[in-house]
Amino acid sequence: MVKKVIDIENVFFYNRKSKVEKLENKVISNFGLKRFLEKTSTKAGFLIIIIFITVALFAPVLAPHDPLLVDVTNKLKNPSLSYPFGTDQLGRCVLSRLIWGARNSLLYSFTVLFATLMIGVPIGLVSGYLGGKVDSVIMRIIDIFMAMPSFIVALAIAGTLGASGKNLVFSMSLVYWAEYARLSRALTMQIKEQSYVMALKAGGCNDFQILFKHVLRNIASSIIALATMEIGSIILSIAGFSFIGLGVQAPTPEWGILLSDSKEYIQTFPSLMIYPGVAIVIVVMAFNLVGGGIQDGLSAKKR
Amino acid sequence: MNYKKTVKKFLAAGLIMSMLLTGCGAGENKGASSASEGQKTQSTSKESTKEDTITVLTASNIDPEIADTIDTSTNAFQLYEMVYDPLVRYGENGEIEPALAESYDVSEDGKVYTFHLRKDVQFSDGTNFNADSVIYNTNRWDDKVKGNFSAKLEKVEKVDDYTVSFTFDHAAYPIIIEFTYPRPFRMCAPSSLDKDGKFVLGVGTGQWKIESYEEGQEAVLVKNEYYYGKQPSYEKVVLKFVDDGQSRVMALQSGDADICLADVPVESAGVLEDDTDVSSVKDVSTLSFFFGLNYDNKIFSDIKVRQALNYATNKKSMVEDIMNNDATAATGIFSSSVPFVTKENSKGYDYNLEKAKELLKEAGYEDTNGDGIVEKDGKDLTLNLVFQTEEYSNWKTICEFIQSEYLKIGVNIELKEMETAAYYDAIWTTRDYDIIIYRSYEDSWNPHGFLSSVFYQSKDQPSVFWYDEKLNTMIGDVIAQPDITNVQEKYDEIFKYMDENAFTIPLYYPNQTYYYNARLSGVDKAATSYQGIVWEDISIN
Repeated sequence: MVKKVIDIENVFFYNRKSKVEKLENKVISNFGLKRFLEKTSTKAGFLIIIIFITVALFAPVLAPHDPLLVDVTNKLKNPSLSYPFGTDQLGRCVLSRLIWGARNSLLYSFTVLFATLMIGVPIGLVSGYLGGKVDSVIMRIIDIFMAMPSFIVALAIAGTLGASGKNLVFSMSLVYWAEYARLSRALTMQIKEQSYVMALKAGGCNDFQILFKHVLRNIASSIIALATMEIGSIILSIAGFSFIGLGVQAPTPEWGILLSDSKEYIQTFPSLMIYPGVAIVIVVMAFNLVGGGIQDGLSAKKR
Repeated sequence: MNYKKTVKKFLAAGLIMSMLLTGCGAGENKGASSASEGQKTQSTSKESTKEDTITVLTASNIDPEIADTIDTSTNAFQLYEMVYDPLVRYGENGEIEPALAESYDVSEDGKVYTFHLRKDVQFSDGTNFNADSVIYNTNRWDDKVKGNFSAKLEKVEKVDDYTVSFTFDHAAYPIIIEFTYPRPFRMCAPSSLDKDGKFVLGVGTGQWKIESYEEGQEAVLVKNEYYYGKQPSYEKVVLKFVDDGQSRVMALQSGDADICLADVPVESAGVLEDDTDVSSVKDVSTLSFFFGLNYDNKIFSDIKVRQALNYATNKKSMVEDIMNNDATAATGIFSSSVPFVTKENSKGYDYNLEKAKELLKEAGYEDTNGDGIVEKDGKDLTLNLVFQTEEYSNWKTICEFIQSEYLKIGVNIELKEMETAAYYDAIWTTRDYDIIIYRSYEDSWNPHGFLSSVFYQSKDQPSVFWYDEKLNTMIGDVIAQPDITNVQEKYDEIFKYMDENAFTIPLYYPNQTYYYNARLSGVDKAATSYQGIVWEDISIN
């Protein structure tokens, strides 16, 4: 059960094929929530994610101040009762910006994930189910996308379209869908050979129903496993893009922006940089713990 | 095993964070990869030691390969100052001082400038500098280069071996100042070009010569043994291009750099002041920062909108709270250290939100749907504000501050950060902005050079920041003044007119501070910011 949960290569130029391949032969209808929650580390990860999502959802209520409220007379203050994490270079509440940052960072990440799933999974399903020429053509396209270093391509697209959160989500989705397509295709091909699919066909179900009602349901768990593993690197990429100014634009509170804003103050006010850094580390770690847990659950079931 | 795994994960996460940070560091060193292939070494250098080398940080890309005297695309003024000499130099308070010319005469009618050259000057390749060298250089000046003179240069003649005369079509007071510019009227040796006439590497008469360089990173200069003036007591200056303010600070603190000629982030200034290993020399700067408005944007054609934005600009708070008082709130486009600028002709706008709101209302902008943003004909007043952070690290903070300030009068500002090259493209070619933060030129360019460069429309060049027919005529008129007698009066009119019409939004005049390592002594500011430092007086302790 020794496996790499996150390795450095995986962050920017990760070998996406290997990750997909690992999951490809794991068609399991039900991986069992109970089984994967047994491990303490997964439980902890799950809890952290729940906390962060709650914080993100209730940001308007939880944040003590308006994250955009500038008060330069009150800049770079140490933590106090009304500003628990102090204030930044424009006198904005750091805690509020972190909380809203969670909302924005997670929102952008989930949007990218959702978009890649929405593009990748249907393409994979159709390709795997139909087979033949359609499959060959789609597979070659997928191969092209998988061969390109995704971060660089997303960087190029975001750079050409201009820097904004919208363009970033667009360019990342455009690049990251391929692995889901590949995974769902492989799984679909295995499932379509099974007798119940034959039975469904014989029973008069049309292809659309078979694919999206029955096949999709059976491959969902593997796809969720991949998605959970991926969300961590998506969060990192988005923060990275924002840091270099190609993603979400200031003054939107987003963790990458918070990091890049604070780099001028690394000596005078290092805490500005530490807070968003720690937040990113914790969230990414939590998602990877859960992703690892799910994958463990899958392989256990398989055995 | 679980424990082990968790530790591993923590380590990995930590590594990722550091990668995220260093990854961006690499991003800032754009062209680092191309630099290795573009690396060229002119001559085999002697092993340099820390005792005879001074490392200097700049924020403008040092690229000796294209630093031709007549090239106007690079901003590496320090390099120009060190390698090439002008005929006359711009001294303290705008005094015209001798350089390659010992003296000069101007004819009665002000059209003919005769320069008497020094007889002891040699280029750094050992060849003699004389009237023929001047003719060689002036022959390279095409119409575009000559366009940098306020009058049309008709002919250049060699009077004798050490006397040259320049004849212009009419007299203009700025001509002699224009001879002092860091570019494009400086003198290079024929060996700067290859046999096909293509520029290879600058060879001049200056105090320094280029020994080697790495494109986009640094240039190593050694002292020019043929230099006619005072020789420095050390061997080399390394000009290093560092485009991140915080990195410049850290390079100074670690001792990797000796002098920083570029801007440092305002919060770090305190750190450097407290550092006993770092000293500083302060300079009165002729620089000013302002917002340029895009005159193609119809919103700005209404003077009330421009005035409202000026009234809504809280310059006092900007200077006191953000800049920690290390600057002066701007009243006009130029600071009072610039010739012809007076209190009376640059009054500026006070901070007055009520007045700003009123003016916007008069211009037809009102918040009818209660979203806090004013609108006209159902369209929100949204403007983008373009900035860069490589040369002036405080601009981002300033722009974010202004964004929050303008929101108080219901103007929605969208910030757009650009990398330096794209930013300059936006100014000079694409005009892809509503508001853009920019700086004035400095020293000898101010005020006439800057005004005619960005507010003046010639036949083939549209105005850069603002076009106004009357302003255009006035600027054209003042730079055509044969002598200084009426110039003050004309500038009074121009500055007043620009102020009343709010063609720009002046922000502040920064103070110039050069930080240097305390191992150096005798560091003193030069007369112009292009020179920066008086090199020959520095000694390494």
